[in-house]
Amino acid sequence: MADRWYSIKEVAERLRVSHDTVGRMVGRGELPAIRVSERIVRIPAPALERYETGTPVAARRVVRRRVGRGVEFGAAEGTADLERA
Amino acid sequence: MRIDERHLDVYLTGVAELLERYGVGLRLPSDGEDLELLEDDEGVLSFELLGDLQDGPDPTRATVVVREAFSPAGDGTWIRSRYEYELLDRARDYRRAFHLHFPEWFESAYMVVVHEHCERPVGHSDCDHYEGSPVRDAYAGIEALLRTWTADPPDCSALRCLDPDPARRT
Repeated sequence: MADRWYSIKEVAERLRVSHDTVGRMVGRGELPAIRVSERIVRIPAPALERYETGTPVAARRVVRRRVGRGVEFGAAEGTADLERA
Repeated sequence: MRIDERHLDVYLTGVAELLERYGVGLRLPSDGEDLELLEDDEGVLSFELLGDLQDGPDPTRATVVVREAFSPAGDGTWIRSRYEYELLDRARDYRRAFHLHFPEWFESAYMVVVHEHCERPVGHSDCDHYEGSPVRDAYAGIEALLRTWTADPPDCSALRCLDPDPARRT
């Protein structure tokens, strides 16, 4: 395992399933992964930990709120020119 | 990216779900579970999702931010008009960001509408804005942030600087 991610092989060993099973889990989107290249996939460590604990994803509701101004963009630009935009 | 009202709700819940499935701990408004979609006086819809990525036992968390705004197209649909996808990696001391905002200003200044930021260490950059590629949607934005987080710290010098005036560089 690199610092922050697992390979398919490492996940297979950790979950005690086959390499192909992990590949299918990634393909189905069950296990979120980062495709680095056609052959290389990284599973972020926090994603695997969440999967292993079986923590369900909350069913969230979207609430619409009327405001004078919406989300602020460009706050982190930090350039004088952009502040004048 | 064009989307209708009903699908915008589905999209927002899908984006939040993807963040959580990647292991990002969402910081939601104080009363809990709901996601907020803000509507301003001009009918622009916007949202902001903030979350933290835990780096193993390291108490230093990385912060992930996803912001998007959708302007009304006048036919019952909205067009994504602004976005910001941000990663602040405190443990490795860098910031990466993918932005679309103030498109008219950027077009007049640099003949582009999107740009990126790269600071390593945080707060230090050779360039205020770097050339970037458009990010298709928040799903792709989140993937770009997680790809960055799982990789070695970025080499900002490998990016192309947009700012033409060396005197403005810090």
